[in-house]
Amino acid sequence: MPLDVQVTFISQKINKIRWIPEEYVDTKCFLTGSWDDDVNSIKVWTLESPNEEEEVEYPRALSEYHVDGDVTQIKFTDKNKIAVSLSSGEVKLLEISIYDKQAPPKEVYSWKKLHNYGGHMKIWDLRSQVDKPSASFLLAGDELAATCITIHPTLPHIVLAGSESGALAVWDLRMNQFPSSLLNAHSAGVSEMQFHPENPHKLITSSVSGEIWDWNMESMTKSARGPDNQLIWMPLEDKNAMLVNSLMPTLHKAINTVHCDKGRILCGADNEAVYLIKNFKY
Amino acid sequence: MNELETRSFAKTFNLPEKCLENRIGCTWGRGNQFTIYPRSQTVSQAPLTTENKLLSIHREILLFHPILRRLVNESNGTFLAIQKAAEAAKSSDNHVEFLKLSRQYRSIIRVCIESLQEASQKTTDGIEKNNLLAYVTIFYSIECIWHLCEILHVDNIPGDIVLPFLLEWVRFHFPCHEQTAARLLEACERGSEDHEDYWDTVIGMIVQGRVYGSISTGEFTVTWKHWQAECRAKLISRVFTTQPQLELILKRVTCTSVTNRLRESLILDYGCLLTEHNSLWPVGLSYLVICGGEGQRRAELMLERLPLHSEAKAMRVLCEARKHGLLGVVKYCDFHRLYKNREFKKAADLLVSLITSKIAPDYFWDTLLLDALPLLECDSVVLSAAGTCAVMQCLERRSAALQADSAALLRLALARNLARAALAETMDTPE
Repeated sequence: MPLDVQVTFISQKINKIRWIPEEYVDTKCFLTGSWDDDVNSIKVWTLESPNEEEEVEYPRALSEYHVDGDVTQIKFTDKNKIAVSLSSGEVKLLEISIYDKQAPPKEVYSWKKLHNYGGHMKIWDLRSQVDKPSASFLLAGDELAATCITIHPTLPHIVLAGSESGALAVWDLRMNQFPSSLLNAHSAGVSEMQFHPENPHKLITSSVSGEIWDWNMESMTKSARGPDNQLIWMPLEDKNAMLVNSLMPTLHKAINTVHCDKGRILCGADNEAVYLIKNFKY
Repeated sequence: MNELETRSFAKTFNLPEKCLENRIGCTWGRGNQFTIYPRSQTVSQAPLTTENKLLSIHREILLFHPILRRLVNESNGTFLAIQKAAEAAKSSDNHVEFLKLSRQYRSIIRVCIESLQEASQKTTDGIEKNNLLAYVTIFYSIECIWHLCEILHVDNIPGDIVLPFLLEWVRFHFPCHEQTAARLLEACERGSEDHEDYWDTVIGMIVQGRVYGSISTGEFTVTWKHWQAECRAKLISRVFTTQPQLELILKRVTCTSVTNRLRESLILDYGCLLTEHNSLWPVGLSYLVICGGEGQRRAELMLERLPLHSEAKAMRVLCEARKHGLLGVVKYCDFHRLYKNREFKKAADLLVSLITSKIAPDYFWDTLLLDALPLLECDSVVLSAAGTCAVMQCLERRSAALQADSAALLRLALARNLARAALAETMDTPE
């Protein structure tokens, strides 16, 4: 079946979107976090068909939790708990009821003033007594900020970061501090990226320039033997060689977030809409 | 307008607080907002009777209702698609695309009407219900008029025979007579003429039928369009260039200049209105920037006044400015990037061009001028003699923007750099 894109306008600019995981069935619920509005909130949504016979499903808001500041990240820490970071520097741990999603998320804990924003990637050893990072990596110059970061699902020494200029940097943590590849990708900042949970060769990226792409990263796992018989990972060439597909026509506003579950991809954008892409082949 | 007339147009509102018993002050905020506050200039011994409160007053804007926000965002996508199609239409005929986009607009309005109706059925608040139904009426009329305009102006009907389409429009939007007639006929009872709607229906059908019967409306439209096209062709071939007055009249008749100006002023107003909203500002911006110089100026003013709560927001504002080629903000950031990268010569050139082009707003002059200080104190000369003189001139014209001691410091640095630069430049020139 061809890709099917469905748009719903929801009167909130969405900065983060996440499927709510289900154990045995395809989930019908997801979370959104808004930004840049008078009042921002975390919302719980469900997909439902207005008529029984119809195949199309539209999101309907079930409950809402107001927050101060922009939602900057949502991560599941448990199957019913999420950590939400806010532009105010606060991180909240919220609990979502599994059985009654109409009930708004409940605050379990909150940490204030944790925020950090910078242009480097630092690795911290939590066991260390010293107040210094155990390793530090640069993106390119000092002035280029990283906007998102992810670890390769099967190669834990490979770390990817998206930059505010739209480039994609790949580090091999066993090598020096500079990225092993730096790809010019989107025409403006990379907003989020995710390796497909069931296919580590598929990477999905979204951008401030309104693009959503899927990448075939198979070449990243190719390696060769160096002079001292050491394994060297092939640096990535330009993005044309990587088989990049556009999943939607370019939007005129920023796509801030993307989250994929099997063949379904959700994205949230600055045109106050959420997009559901179905029949994605992975 | 005299005072009496003004008063009849003015609306009076009662403010809830009693903070305004004595003198009051008023300050404009961003967009259509202002703040009024108590301003007492005499120190009175009597205890304060007024509450010390600031009142922030702004218009309630219909389009900021959550349901209508969907319309604002969705239609913005269509608007931007039309701008692209219009660009493409310069080289090839794009009529089919325009018609498609016009229908898209109407379908967005119809979806909005449905959502409003649905919400009005759900709400238990009587006032909210009435408001929602009022919005339904407004948007229903908009869609109705749009449909008519689409038939007359957008749809490329063969031979311009619009009549069947107009009839369809009449039937579609005013179906009551036809429906009643159908009901009466279906009942097919004797004495249906006694039905209370009988004569209304018959008259209604005749009125609508008369539109159908006479071709004069269609003929008129065809002839009118034909004549307009002829005038337009003559205007383009510059037949009337020797008669500017006549040319102006013809432009008015063919609706080119007037509609363009009206369109632009409506788009400017709409864009400005949207920039007032905390979340919808980029939508507003996308309307402003297509309106030539005036739109660009308003867009720049708007961007400078956006409240920035976080670095992410600041980055997004910059990104929007860059996308729409709004130079002032972007150039200043480029200056900082060059300075950070220690490309002092390039940074100095950019700063001088920013200062001399006078595009900076008033409140920014002190920042801009003081940014020159570290460049003047560089080990090597980075500001040329000519550039230094230009900055000196601007400083004297704008010295009020700076505190006296900073201005003195800057004057000294400029004078020293002028000496250094003049010396270096004469030494570089071969004898």
